[in-house]
Parts: sequence; structure tokens; C-alpha cells
Amino acid sequence: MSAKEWVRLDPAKFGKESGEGIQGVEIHVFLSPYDVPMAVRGHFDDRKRRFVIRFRYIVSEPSKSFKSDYKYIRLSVGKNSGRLQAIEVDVDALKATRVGLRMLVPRAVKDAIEQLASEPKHGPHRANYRIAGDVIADRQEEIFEDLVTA
Amino acid sequence: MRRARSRKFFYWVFSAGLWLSVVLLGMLAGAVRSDADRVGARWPFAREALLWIQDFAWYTYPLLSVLALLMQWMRQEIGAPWIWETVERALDDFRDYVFSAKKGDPEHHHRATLFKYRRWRWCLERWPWSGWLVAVARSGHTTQEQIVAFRPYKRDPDRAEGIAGRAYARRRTLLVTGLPDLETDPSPQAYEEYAKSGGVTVEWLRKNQPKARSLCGIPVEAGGQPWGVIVLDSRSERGISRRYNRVFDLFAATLSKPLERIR
Repeated sequence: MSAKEWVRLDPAKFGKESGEGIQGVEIHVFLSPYDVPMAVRGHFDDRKRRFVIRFRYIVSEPSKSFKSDYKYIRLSVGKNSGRLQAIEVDVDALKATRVGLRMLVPRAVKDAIEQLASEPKHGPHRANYRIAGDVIADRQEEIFEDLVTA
Repeated sequence: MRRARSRKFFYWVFSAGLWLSVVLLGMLAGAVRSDADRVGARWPFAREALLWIQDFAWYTYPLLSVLALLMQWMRQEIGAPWIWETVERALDDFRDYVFSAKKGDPEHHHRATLFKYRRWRWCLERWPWSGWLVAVARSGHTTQEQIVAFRPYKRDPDRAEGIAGRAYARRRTLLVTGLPDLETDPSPQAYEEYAKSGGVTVEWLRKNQPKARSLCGIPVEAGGQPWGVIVLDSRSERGISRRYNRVFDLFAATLSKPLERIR
């Protein structure tokens, strides 16, 4: 499946956090349903000349975007929730070959997410950023498939 | 049921108040722009009334505007009755679905309750403004009264009270099953175990004597911000199955949209 289309995700795979049993009492912890993306999509936006990774959540909301500490990356987060909605990579500015892009972009995206999660003001959203990173690592082939056309 | 009736009544009162304020503001605007002498030539009795209204317009304008805003704020605080009817109906359906295997049991043995976060509430507690999760809707008609409130301690989630408080403060869905039956086993160990797993104190347990043996707290958001928690409780030891986790998620998401309209 090409990631130009939405790739559906299994919330059970990314949403389970822990489970324990003590003297007959079982306690299970799951991430908030709002934090786990339902689908992800990676595509090259011809108009913006950017490679864009988008996450779709159980509830949609307006987003705000800002420049990441990584020069070529812009991040969009939910206006109220702060959840990661999209990552835009300026592939032209990277000035790399197609093969180079396949190496550079996933690395840069991973670093940008880690940087975002490490900022103290984003503490409450850390779980969401961790899942976003896990999703990208897990579905890397499909998400970055469109990079070759960039 | 009593809560639903009073909610409807006050919503109606504040809606009427809002409309009245708006209508009066419109009439006031018309009266201020009118020429009292010209109107008085046609209707002599209206001249004095117009002059009187114009004299007091400087403070009735802002007063009515503030009143209209206040009424609108109160309406949003209470929530439209149709939203609550939808929420209560959804809670009933949710409860029926999750506990479909326990159809023969009385309704109040397996319940779904919606708690809303409020900064303060009317109560005889030391810190009524310290933030509370207050029950605002519950499945069934027989179990709507006497629902306790919990403190989520947003800034210190380790102190959060109950499954509701823990789920809200940690922004996680929590499922606890196999809690001790305090009726058949009132030993100190059973109380300790229940208190530890349920996020309450032994004193609280002795006072409230909960019968639930399975609990599940699901955080609810509205407009991307924490709104409250849905708590499922069952008297059955394994009454709530984790295989319904996806259903919990979808239900919480479904409620998000209507709850955006309740402050």
C-alpha cells in the first residue's frame, strides 16, 4: 500500500502501556484514546514542495504549526491538545540525492520528534510524541515510499 | 431524574432571561434614538415613559448587556437539555453493550458514570476550590443519586483520588478487576488491597462501602482539552473485559463532540 493513502494503525499495538496482577487484582493501563493515532500518511506535497507526514486521530481539531529546531522541518500540533498532527520536511533545502533523502529524512524526523518531546513545556504530550515516533519507525517503508518521487 | 428536571428548569429560566435581556436591549436602543416630543405629540402617555427610559439608559444599557452575557454563560455552564439527553442515552447504550453478558443482573450492579472536572463545588470540605470530578450523568434511572466526587490533583497525580481521579490526572485509561468483596471479606488486608488498587483511603472505603469489584476509568476530552472521565463499575469480579478497550476509546470520542458545548 502506498502511503499517499492513509495507512490504518492498530491502536491496540501502540496504545497498551502496562498490565500487572497482584493477589488476584489485575490493573491494566492504556494510553488515552485521544493520544493514539488511528492512521498515518506520508506524501510529497507538490504545491508546497515538501514531504509531509500526517497523523489522523480519533477526534480532529485545528492545528498550529511552527518551525522545529531542525532547520528543514516544520511541525504542526493540535491547537488545544498539543498532539503531533503533521511533520513537513523541506526536501529541496536538504539538497540530497534520492538515496540520500531516504537516509536523511527519517533520521531528521526522528530527531525532531525527540527534540519536541524533550522540551519541558510539552511534558503532558510526551506519550503522544513517543507513539508518533513508534508509528513512524514501525511503518517506515510505507510512510517514506513517496520520497523517491521528490 | 431530579437532576435532569432541575437542569431543564434552570436552562429554561436562563434562556428566558437571555431572550428578555436581548429584547429589552433592542427596545432600549429604539427608545434612546426616539424623539420624545414627536412621539408625545401622537401618544401623550408615551412621552414621559420615553424620557424616563432615556434618563436611565446610561446604566441600563451596560446592565442589560452584562445580564445577557451572564445568562448565556449560565446556559453554557448547565448545557442544553438535548445534549444531556443524548449523553444519558449514550451512557445507557454503552453500559448495555459492555455488560451485555450480565443481562440478567439488576441495572445498578453494572453502571457507567460520567464525571466532569470542575474547579470548585458546593461542599463542606476544607478546599472546595481545589478541583473536583463531579458526577454529571449516570446510566439507568435507579442509580442517579448520591454519587461521590473525587479530587484529581492535577498538579500531583500521585495523590489523585479513585479510578476517576487517576484516569483524569494521568490521562490514561485504567482498568482494575478482581477487587476484594468487602461485604464477604471485611478483613483489614482486603480493605488495604482495595484502597491501594482503587486509589482511595481505607477511611473512605469504610465510610462509602463500595460494592464494585471491577472499575474502569476512561479520560474524556472536548475540544482537545481534558473534560472529565467515564467510570464503569461492576459488582462482578471480572465484570469489565479489556477486550472492550477499543469500544471504550470510540465511546469517549463519540461523547467529545456534544460535550464541547458544555463548559
